[in-house]
Amino acid sequence: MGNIRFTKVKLILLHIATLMLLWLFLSANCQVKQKYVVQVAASKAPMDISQFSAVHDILDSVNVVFSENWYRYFIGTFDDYRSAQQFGAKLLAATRLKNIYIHKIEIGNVEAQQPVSAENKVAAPDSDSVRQVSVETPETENPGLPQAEAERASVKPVPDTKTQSKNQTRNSGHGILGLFFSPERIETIESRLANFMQMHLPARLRPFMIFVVDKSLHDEVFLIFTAVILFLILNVTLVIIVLNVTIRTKKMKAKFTRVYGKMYEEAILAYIFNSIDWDTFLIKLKRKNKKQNRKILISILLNFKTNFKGETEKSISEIYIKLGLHNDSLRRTRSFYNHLKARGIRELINLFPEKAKELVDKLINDPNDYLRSEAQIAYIRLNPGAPFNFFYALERPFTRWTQLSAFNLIRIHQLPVPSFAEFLNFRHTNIRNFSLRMITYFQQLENISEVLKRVDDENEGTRFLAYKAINDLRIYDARPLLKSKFPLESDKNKTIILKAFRNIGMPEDFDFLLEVLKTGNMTMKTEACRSLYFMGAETREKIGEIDRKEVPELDLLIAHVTDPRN
Amino acid sequence: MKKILVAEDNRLILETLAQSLSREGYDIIKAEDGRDCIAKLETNQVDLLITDLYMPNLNGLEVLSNLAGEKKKNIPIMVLSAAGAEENVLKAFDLGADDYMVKPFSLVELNVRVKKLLSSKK
Repeated sequence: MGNIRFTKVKLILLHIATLMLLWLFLSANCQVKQKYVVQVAASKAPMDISQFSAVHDILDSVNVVFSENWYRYFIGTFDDYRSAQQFGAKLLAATRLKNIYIHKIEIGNVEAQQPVSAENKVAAPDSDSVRQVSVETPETENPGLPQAEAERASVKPVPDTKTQSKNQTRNSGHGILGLFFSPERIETIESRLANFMQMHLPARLRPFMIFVVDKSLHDEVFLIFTAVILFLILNVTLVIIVLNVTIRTKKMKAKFTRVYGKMYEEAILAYIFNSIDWDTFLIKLKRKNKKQNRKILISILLNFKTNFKGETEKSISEIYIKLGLHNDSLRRTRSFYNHLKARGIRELINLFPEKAKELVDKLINDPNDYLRSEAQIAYIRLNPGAPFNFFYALERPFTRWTQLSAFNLIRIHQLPVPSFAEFLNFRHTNIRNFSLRMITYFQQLENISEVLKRVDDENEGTRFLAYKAINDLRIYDARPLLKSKFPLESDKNKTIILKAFRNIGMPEDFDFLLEVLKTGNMTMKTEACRSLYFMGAETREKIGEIDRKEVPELDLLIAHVTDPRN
Repeated sequence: MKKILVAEDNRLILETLAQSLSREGYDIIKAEDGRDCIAKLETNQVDLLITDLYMPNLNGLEVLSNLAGEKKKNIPIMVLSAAGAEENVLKAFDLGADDYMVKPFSLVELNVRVKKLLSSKK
């Protein structure tokens, strides 16, 4: 699978695309949603709904909508005008309200209808009724405030059967939300959200958002969908923010390091070349006591140390200790984090080796591979006389990565190569294997006798490396030993033995290889054929004399091994 | 005053070499990568080239390969590298290097070698 790289632009585009999809989806769904509500009051300034309900003996939940500079207070939502009208009539009878208005709501837009009076005179819907509401503002600018305060009753709104069932669904069936909140609470949330949106959202966005809230609170599929979309949007936003912050921080850090790095480099160079004295040098090292700046200083000194030796090297160590930077490194070696410990060790090895020695000895067997590896590499660097003597104290694996690093260290820094024969009897397989590889690479012919003993090693991998060493060191005398071991070996080791005969084989080994050609599997036959063919002219000639009936695939094998592509 | 072109991508080493060599009385031209080195060699008459082995754009060996035969004959070349492996040294000499120093190196030793190379200029 290919890697997907999220650049900032891509993430923003994704964000926009998600929003547009959501907009399109919901816009398509939010058409022709007309509801009827019973308006019980309206005011220019928001009023206390609970107080209003108490004064007028209203038991139902009162919602508020802000439109055309009016706060409109209404009860219930109905799918048709008739249900709203019936409910309004009952509301008048049961409360102290004097009059009410039936309004048609088109997703957030409140459209006033004819008032329902206490005498139960209900008019048909009128398109101009919105104006009527704002004009009819009796008392405290509350159009439709009730007058028949004496009429008190606890009658609940009873819409027609269809509306009732729907309202029941709305009130009792809030889906998932119903599990956590009471219907009243949900209505309150809806009302507050609607109110908030009326007051804060732009008019064009308002209907859509009110629709989304309404749908989400009453349709659980829609709620889940909205939640998922919100989650995605939040996620994308979060990623963008994190990316932005990370990139900005990184850039700032890089700039900081560059600016101070250059300043410190110039100061150090001036001090090393005796252009300035110690006091001037200290003045030039601005903010040298800050943690980040000390880190920059250490990295510059490390850079010096890895590239220069002689007088420069001494000056660098002197600066490191005089500035007390070794304390920073020592603190790092005591850190909770292993990577910091490793960094501390690395700094000490290069800049204050005397102190590093004590630490390294303790960490040679650290359970953390990274730290142990760092300590082992440090040991090799700090003990050029006996770089691998830590093997004697080693209780944990000498990892392949450390083996490679150690090898690289010896090769690149041209460290003295010790004799690896003494480590061939070690308990740890990885030490034995590493030693065999080193003996082979550095052609330590003086260790041949020890190498030969490894063909009896209990570990298959070690035996493999021993056979490889016999081949690479061209130990001709080992041929009888190889032949005796061949029948007892695994297929992999048999193959390496056969390969060895290509380089160290003699004409007298012909019969051994012929037997393999007759009885071995195809890989072994191929290697036996290759060894016979390339061993020398004598064996190459003898191949022609082999009976094709005994080795039917011989010609094919010869063609294969002589093909330059193989 | 003898002119020395120093090609090194590590700014710290470049500046240190430049300071050290200028104190010895040489005129230093700095190049931060192989391509820059070639360009400066073409526009300047230099007496010695000190180049790092691993550099961006063109490495030290590529710089040596790109140098025209005539220039190679006239300008002594010293290669600096952290890789002291035999194959690298041999390759550098094969491509016309006159000296090879493995990092870390001593500035005193470098100055001596530079002096020797300049005095043995063909």
